[in-house]
Amino acid sequence: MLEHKGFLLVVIIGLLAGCGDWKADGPQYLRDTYGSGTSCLKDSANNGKGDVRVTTTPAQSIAGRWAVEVNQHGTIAPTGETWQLYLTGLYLANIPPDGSGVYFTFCDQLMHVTTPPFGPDKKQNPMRPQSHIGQGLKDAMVSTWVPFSKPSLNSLPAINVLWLWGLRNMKDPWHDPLPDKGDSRIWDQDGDGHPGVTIVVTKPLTGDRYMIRRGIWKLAKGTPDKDFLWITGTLKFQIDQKAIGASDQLLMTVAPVTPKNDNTYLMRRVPGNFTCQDLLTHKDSVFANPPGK
Amino acid sequence: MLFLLVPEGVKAKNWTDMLDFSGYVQSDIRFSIEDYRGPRNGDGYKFETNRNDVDFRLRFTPNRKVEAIVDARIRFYGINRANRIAELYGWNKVDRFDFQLNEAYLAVHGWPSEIMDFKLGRLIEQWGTADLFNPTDNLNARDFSDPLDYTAKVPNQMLEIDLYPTDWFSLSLVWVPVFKPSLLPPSTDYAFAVETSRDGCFVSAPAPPLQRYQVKALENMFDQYSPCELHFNTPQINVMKPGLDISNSQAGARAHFDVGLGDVGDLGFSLSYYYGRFTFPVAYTAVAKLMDDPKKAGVMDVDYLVNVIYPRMQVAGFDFSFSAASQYVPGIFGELAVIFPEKVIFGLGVLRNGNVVNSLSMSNVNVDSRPFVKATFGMDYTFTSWLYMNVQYVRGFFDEFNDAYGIHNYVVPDIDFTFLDSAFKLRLSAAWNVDDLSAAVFPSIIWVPAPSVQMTLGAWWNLGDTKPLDPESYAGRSKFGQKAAGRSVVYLKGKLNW
Amino acid sequence: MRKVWNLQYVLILASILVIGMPDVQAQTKLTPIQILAKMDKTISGYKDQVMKNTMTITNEKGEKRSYDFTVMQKGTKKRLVRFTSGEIKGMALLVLGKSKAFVYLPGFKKVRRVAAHAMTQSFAGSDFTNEDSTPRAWSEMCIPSLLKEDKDHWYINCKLKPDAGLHYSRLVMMVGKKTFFEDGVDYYGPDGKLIKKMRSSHPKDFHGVKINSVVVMTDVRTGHSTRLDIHDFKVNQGLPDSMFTVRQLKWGM
Repeated sequence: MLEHKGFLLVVIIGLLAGCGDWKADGPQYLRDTYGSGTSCLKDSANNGKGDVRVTTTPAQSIAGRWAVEVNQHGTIAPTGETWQLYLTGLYLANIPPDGSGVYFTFCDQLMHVTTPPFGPDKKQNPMRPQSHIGQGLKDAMVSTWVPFSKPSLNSLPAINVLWLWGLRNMKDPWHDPLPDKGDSRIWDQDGDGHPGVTIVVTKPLTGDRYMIRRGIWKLAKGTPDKDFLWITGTLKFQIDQKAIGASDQLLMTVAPVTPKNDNTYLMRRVPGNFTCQDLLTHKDSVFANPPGK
Repeated sequence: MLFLLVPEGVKAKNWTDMLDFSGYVQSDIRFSIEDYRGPRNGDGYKFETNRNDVDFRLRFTPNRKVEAIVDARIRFYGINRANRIAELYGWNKVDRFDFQLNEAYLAVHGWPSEIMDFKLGRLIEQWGTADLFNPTDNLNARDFSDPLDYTAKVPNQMLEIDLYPTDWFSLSLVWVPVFKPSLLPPSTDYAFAVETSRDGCFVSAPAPPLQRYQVKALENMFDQYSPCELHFNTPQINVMKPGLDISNSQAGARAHFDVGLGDVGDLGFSLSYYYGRFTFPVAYTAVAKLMDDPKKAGVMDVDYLVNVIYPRMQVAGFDFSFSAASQYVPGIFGELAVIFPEKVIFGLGVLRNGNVVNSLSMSNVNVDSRPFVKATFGMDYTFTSWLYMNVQYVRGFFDEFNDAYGIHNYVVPDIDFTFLDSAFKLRLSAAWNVDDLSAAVFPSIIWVPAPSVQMTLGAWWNLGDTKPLDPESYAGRSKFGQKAAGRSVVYLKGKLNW
Repeated sequence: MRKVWNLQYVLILASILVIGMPDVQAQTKLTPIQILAKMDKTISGYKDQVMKNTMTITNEKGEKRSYDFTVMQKGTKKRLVRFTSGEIKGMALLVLGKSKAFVYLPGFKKVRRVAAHAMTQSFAGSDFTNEDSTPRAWSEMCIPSLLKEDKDHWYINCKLKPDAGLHYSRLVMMVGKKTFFEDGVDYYGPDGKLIKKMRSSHPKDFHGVKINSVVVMTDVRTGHSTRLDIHDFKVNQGLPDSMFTVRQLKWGM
């Protein structure tokens, strides 16, 4: 009987799978990635070859390639107490010569949290939770194209930017409520075998959190310096996120982010072969000495 | 539960009997014998590879019912890859090496039932009756990281249960929880490479799996630019690996029968089923990102991004081998696999300065969902003590999945001449693509100067055009002629077994 | 590609085993068929046997190559041979009768049926053919007649029956009168000419069982020879039938 059961199991597995979605639809994949403004296609950008350097030759417009640092400050209160959350997003941006829009590519997001002293006497050291973006999402180099309302080459116009992590096919991606676990609109964007995108938590717990996120930036008009080597500006942001799985149930808790008002963005002109890897490796020197500081 | 096992029959009496240690040392050096299948023409006639392997295989058999196997290989690469002074401070680049665990598994024999064996661990499984070209054998991916070692496979974790209810029937059930892809030769990059002239001007790009009119539309777009103003960055090929959920597991079952045919001979045949994925990548999407150079009008930077996937498939297999009672009748063997593939629709998009160019968004069925057949039929015969011949007809090479390239037909002959008390053997082997007439020829001379020692002097010679026979067709490339097939080499190997 | 030369090698190395009962008294007035039957009993008259051997091949120049292997046999129909040294270490052969043999190729992890066309071939200058490896009872395969006898031996002419499965025209068997050992065999080809000679010698006691411990096969046409040295020999070890199956061949113990 044993062999009959085993064989049956194999056949059932095969039939079940065979009845499922047995079509790999490349065009749909492209629509998902580009049509919704997100992409998991990589931007090769010269594969990181060549010397890493910023551009120092003055330019005539904002067209070209930029390294972008977006500093977002908010608070969270997972324990009832207010913790300070600092998110530093690192991106590449391309602005075409016709000034029709900007093409952002996500490189990484750094998180820094400060917590008040805890313990009965409030004298113990801050806990400083730590996490970082999973490698899969960094490798995916999510991109989005943001058209300007009218062409602009002298300054970065005010724009709204939508980032979706682990989400697609949203009817109104700006406003729809985030779906729950199991919803077909959730997808494995970082390709690591888990739905959504993976955030690696390293402190105080250790494990992976699988989550979906909608990030909205409202970038105020960006002001370039006279040589068009820098663009600086402020922004407001909104983050909606939800955990849809975790390697440890304790990691399922996701606290809402309350934005503060001291958020800024900084853009530094870089050569055409500048890559995300260059940016991650040299971010401090790339954004050193911005105008006005 | 293993402690319940009771040794029986011939019992191992001491550690010497329980442990068997074997392995080999092998040294292999290769020299390229042409200069037109490398990254650029004129680069060749040089040492291509130098590998020095040490393999250890430990087999522990505490009793007749239990076996544990560990097989590991350390490979040192003899070619210095240090390019910077800092890389000379250590061995990492100067004397690179890697470690490979070929097998590590536990096997239990005749437990819990006398008719049952099972294995668990990192295994290499072998199905089918043909030589090398086994379309019914899909449990392990192929390891073509070394194209000359074309018999190698990628080990994978699996659970195997074998049932032997009678002496004429056996049943194997295998579950492979996690998908592992085939390893590809380093020359695979050339399949996607854009050809440029010596001064960096664009010459041609490989055709994607699209219809001819679609390829022409792409060509027309690039024709708008001067070839020297198109700056192609190195194409980036992303592999979309299957998730770790259970639906991406692989499973297989194989029922084997032995049938006596009286005075005619004996027939062994198997019926098999496999559920899993094709282990070679199939083109899924491609995106050309065009960026006008803001400083130079008419100059265009082009990034070419490709996604490849491993389509699902089910395989219904049949294999057989017939052994005639008459010594004048050759051995006959064959395999037939009916493959039910996942449909793959290839999509191509063009973004110019970040904007989707709708007129150049294209799609084409790369793999149809209709089942297709891969098969091998062959025969072998020993003519005299010094002449042996084996010929196979192969429909569908290892990496073919009835995509836009199609399924090709091959003839694979192998002739062995044995001399001087079998101390020398001349082996003439080849694989000939009868559709595009390209071929790989791999003659070798094997010398056994002493027991356990083998010296091999051989060549791997690819014959065919490096340029596509039809540049506007995905199927236009020459199977063994294209650069992706790798360079032609001569090699010298020495191997000592223990 | 298909490793037939190795396969042949396995078959050959599994060849002639010359074993005997200790101190069997020579009988007089035995018929040739009775002599062969008694010789068969000295060769295979045990429930099972386990034997460890070294085979040394010597070519015309005197160059030698040696390989170790173990033979397990049950009755006269089942034999399992495993190689334990050389470039073919791990290879194994299962013989289940005069024309049914399987070989395990560890490099390919495959069991293959040995084709009939490979059975008459030799390997590596060895002086055995593949079909020599099959376990057999000579008394069932021969139409015997007594050619001559001397003080120590009977010389039996063995005309092979059509279904013997061997490709010789006849054999002359030299049977020890005191031991019923197969002390020698002369092999004649289809054309009736002498092809090769086997001689066994050096009787030795292994765990209470006496057998000839050295076997030499010489090709009389070339002077080429192959020598088997038996290092250990045990009988009635309780080998199960399951050991002589394709399943066991793959299992490797």
